[in-house]
Amino acid sequence: MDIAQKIGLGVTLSIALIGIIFALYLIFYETPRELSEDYSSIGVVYLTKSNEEKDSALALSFYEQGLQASRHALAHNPYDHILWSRHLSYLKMTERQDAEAHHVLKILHRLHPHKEQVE
Amino acid sequence: MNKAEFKNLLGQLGFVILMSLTFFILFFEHKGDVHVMAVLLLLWSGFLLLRALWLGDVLRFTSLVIRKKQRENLPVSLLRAMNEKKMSKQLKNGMRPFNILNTALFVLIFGYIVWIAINTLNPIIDRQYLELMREIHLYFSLYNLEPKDMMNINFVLSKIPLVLISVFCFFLSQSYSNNRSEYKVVIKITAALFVFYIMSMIWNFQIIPIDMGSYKIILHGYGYGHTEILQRVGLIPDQEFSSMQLRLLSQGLPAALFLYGIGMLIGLSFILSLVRLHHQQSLYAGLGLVVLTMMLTVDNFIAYDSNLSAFWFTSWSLLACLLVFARKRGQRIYRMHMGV
Repeated sequence: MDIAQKIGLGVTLSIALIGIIFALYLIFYETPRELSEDYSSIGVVYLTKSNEEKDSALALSFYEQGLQASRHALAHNPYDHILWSRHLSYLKMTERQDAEAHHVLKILHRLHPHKEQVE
Repeated sequence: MNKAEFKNLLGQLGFVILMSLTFFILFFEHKGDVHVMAVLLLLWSGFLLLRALWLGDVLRFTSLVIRKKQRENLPVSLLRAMNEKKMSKQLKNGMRPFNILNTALFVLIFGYIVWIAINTLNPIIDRQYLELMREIHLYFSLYNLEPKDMMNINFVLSKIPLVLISVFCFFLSQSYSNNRSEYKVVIKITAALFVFYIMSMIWNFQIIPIDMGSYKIILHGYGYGHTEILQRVGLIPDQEFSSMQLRLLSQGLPAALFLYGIGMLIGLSFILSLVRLHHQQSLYAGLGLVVLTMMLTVDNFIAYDSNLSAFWFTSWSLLACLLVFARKRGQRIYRMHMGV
C-alpha cells in the first residue's frame, strides 16, 4: 500500500466513523417539531379533562395546565400559524385571557399580514 | 470462486440493495423525516466503514501473501500467488476514487456544508420578519419561556444526512465501478433508477415549470427552512420555486457557486474525455454531459418537490459511474498505443 492509499483509507475510515456518530445522534435527537406535537397533545388532554369537570376548581387547574402545555408547544414551533390559531381558540374558552388573546392575535396578523380575518 | 471473491460479490450486492433502498425511500418518503434519514446515514456510514476496512485489510494481507508465496517458487504456489495478485489488482482499483478530482469535489462539498451552517446562523432578517420575531419573543418572555428560533444549527444538522449519503454513494459507486467484474451491475442499476425517476416524472405530470420572472439572486440567503415563513410574512411571493431559486433564497449565491463548481469540474472532466475522440470513452462522456444538462434543467426550471432528492441521489451516483468509464477507457487505449 502506498502513502496516498494509506491517507485515503484513513480519511475514509474517519469520515465513516463521523457519519456513524452523527447518525446515532440524529436517531436519538428529538426535533423541536416533535416536542411541539408532544406538548400539543398533552394540552388537548388537559383541556378535554377541563371540559369534563365543569365549573370546579379542578376544571380551572386543568385549563391552566392545558394552556401552559399549548404555550410550550408554541415555544418549540413558534412560526406555525395553525398552532397559534388553536391557542387562540383555547384562550377564547374563557373571558379572563383577553390580554393574552390580544397578543396572540397581533402575532397571527404578523404571520398573515394579507389575511384580514384570522380564525 | 474463492472466499475473498465471494465476500467482494456480497459487498457489491449489499451496495446495490442499499442504493435501491435509499432511492425508493427518498422517492416515497416525501417529508424527508430526520429519523429515517439518520437510519439511512447509519447504514451508509457502516457500509463505507466496512468497505474501507475490507480494502485496507485485504490489500495489506494479499501483498504479504504474494511476497511469501514468491519466495517458495513452486508452480502451484505461483498460480495461487497469481490469483492473489489479480484480486489485489482489483482491490487496488477500488482505491482509485482517492484522486485529485474527487478531493476537489469533496473540498467543495465541505465548503458548501460550512457555508450553509454560517448562513443559517447569520441570515438576512428583514423588517417584517424582525418585528414578528420581536413580538414572539415578547409574548414568551411574559411566561418565562424561550422560543426555539428557526436560525438553529440543529435545523442545518437535520439536512446534512442527505448530502453525506450522496457523497458516500458517489465514492462507493466509483470504488465499485473501477473493478472490471463489477461495473456493469452498478451502472445498470443506477441508470435504471435514473430512467425510472424520469419516467415517473413524465407519467405523473410532475414537470411544473416555474415563473422565471421572480428569479432573485441573493448574496446572503435568508437561512435554511425559512421559505414558508417568508412567504407567510409576505417577503417572498407565494408561488412554486425551483431548487435553484430556493437555494438562492435560503442559502445565497455562495452555496449555488459551491454546488455549481462541483458540476463544472465534472463537466470539464467529461469534455476532456470527449475531445480525446475514442469511441467508447466519448459515449460515456457524452452520456455524462446529457445527465449534467438534465440536472441543470431540473435545478433551474422545474418546480421543487421533496421527492426530487431521489433524483439528485441517483443522478450523482450515475455521474460517478460515468466519470469512471469516461476516464478509464482512455487509459486502456493509451496503454495499447504505447504497446504498439
